[in-house]
Amino acid sequence: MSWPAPDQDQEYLEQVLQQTTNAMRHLREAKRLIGEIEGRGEAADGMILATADAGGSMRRIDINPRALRLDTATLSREVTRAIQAAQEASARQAKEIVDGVAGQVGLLPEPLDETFVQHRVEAAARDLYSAGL
Amino acid sequence: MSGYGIDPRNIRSQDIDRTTRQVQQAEAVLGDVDELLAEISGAGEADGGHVKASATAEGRILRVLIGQQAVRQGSKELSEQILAAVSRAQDDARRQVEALLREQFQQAVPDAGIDPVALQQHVDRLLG
Repeated sequence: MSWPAPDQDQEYLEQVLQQTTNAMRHLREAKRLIGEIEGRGEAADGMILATADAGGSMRRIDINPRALRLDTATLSREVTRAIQAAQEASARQAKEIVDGVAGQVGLLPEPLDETFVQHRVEAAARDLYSAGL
Repeated sequence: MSGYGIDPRNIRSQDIDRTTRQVQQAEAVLGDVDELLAEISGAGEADGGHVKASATAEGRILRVLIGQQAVRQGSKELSEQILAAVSRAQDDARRQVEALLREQFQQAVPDAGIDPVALQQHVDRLLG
């Protein structure tokens, strides 16, 4: 990685701050979009409709009264299928949003670490040494 | 980290040995978490007990069981009962996950004094 030169610290800091602000904006926007997700699933030829949010909680289940003529084993199975389809749909939508934002947030610069500090200390020591000559 | 009883100005070889053992212990305990999470099944039922549901640790619904009594109450009431049973199954699974995480974390790093559930909630709030 490349390090900022001492006279570019201000500029570098502002750049990092700007990138971080952008990343947080993208994350907040993603969170808002995820909050609005409605995954839909249906079963029993559309007689059972289920809607799930991004967390997999069910927002609503609509059952056409005609579906009540099914035997309870079939009705149970079809309701389960509609719910699972709704949960899968919402998970797919959430993944698309997360994948989209991951590309934006991934552009953040690598954090400066101890090798940077060491680099700076050595540079300062060299300056002191050459000033003393 | 003062909690681990190591003086950073005087790290002895036995400190390193002890820390290595702690890390190995933590890895062993936390390695089992995925398996234990996969075994979790939350159960819930609507008032009256005529609709039952089960959910995985992630809240995925495994099964909904509808009794004849629930069907007789009509489709709107049945929908309400399904929503209640499903939500209770997910709540039950979540409680089991939280209990498991607390227990495993306590075993993995006994002296850390960190509540993994509170930590997760804190991280969630940071993005709020």
